[in-house]
Amino acid sequence: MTALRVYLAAARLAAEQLRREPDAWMVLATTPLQSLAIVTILQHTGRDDLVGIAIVGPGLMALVQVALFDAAEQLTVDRSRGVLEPLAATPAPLVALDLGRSTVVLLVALLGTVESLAVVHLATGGQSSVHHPAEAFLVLVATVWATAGFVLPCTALLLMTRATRALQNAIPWPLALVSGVLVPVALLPVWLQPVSPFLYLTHSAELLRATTRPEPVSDLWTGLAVILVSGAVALVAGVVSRDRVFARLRRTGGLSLT
Amino acid sequence: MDVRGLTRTFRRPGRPDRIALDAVELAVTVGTTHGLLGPNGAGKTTLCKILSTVLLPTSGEVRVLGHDAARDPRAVRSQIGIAFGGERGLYGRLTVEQNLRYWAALLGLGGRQARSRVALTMERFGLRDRARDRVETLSRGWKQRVHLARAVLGEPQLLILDEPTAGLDPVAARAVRQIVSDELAGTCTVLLTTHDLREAELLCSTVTVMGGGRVLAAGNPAELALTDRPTHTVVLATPAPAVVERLCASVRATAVEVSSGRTELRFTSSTDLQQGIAVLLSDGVVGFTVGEGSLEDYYVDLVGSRGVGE
Repeated sequence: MTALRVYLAAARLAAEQLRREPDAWMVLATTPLQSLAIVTILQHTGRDDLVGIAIVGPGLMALVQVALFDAAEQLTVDRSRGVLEPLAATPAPLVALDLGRSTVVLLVALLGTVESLAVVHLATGGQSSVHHPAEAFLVLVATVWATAGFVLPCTALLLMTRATRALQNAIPWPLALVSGVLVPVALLPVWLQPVSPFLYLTHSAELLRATTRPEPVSDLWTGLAVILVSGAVALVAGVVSRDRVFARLRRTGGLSLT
Repeated sequence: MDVRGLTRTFRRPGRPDRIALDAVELAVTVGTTHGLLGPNGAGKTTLCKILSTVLLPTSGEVRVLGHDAARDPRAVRSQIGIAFGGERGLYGRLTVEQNLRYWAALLGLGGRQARSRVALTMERFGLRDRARDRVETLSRGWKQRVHLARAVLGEPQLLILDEPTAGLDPVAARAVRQIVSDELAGTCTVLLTTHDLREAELLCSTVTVMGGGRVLAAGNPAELALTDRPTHTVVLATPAPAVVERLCASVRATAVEVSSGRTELRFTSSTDLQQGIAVLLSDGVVGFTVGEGSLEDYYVDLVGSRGVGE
């Protein structure tokens, strides 16, 4: 009950902060523009078969960027505002707090995918669409879950480093590349391909692209299972790493910057 | 609260460790208001952080309400309230009420209970009319009220207030002191840190004076002041080092250089004062001003060599 209460309170806090601090909405301005650029290039080169990338790629990139820049950074920002110590001194389960805040900002980022779909739909004269909306919905929900799990170890990592921005900038593009978000894994260099199946984003991207094609989505349930399990593993890793980081910060005095 | 042999050091790369707390002993009786006095760097805030479980001790034992703060922090956290104070520590873009509602949830309060507790607390602390103001628009004094309100939301058994009046103008400081004395004292155990001896004397039943990470004195503030503090002072108008030396050798007095060329003589009894004045007059020194000794003099004497930043 307490965990749920904290989760909801954290989600409410994040929603209020989003309303008053519009930085996180910026991603919704850039995502459709990226989709437009990609679909234009694909049409110009005659690769209409890859138009799904223009719908899925920028949306998933937006999710990863928001996960790293907004969700995972929240405790670091709390520390700079002098809020982390009072937070740590409450009996609240901080995992519920992290998840509550992450859920809200990730759901906002998800709107980017909807925007991408709309832009690509218009750019292709209505020829591109999501042919399997129910499957796409399931994949998106699973992807948000996995990304929320992925946020937890990243939160711990950002708390441990002062090179926050460098890390946040370094992770998204390589991750997107290796997981085939922007370029299908089959088109990547052969030596890079073995890494891709271990990343949940690979499965999210492939399944979401499949929902933009008329033929039935193959391996839907296997893909969903991989994404959900990846999220659970990331969640557990996040809880363990966060506990360790907090123990270390209590030892070093790093819960505050003064 | 029971602190025994508490030591806390901080590592500094390439330099010797900094000792923030050195074998500190402290016992606070349940239900009392205890003051921690000391200059910047005395170790007061470090001690508060250890008591509130956000910092681990290097060695020693810290028991809060019967629980080991290092080994059983969860048990401690559910029974304490903290106010570290200052401009930071709250969500500036959210309103007072939103901040308090959020913290109420973190303390395990939900629904109707949270709403009524927040409303009641805002009423107690005079925040009702500011409930919908963003915290970032409040003055420091009002922010301090929000800090205090947050600290008591969970009805804690131990309240840790770290310099609640630091940086406030006299009116705001008085308002905060009034809240502490009228609203908080007696409802729970209060640990209050301050630079201000007068504040400690007003609010605290017992005090511990700290300096350089050590406990320098402890006890009832009035008793401490009566036994050790200077009761009278004599400030010489012109330097007279030979006379001062002779006086200090024959009478119980301390000479302090208060500013360039100005010497203050401090006496701990009126008998010593009379004898001292007699020495001055007999040596032809007539330019001096007699005043009452202050708690501040006592405090400065006690922590003097362990002053700012050490």
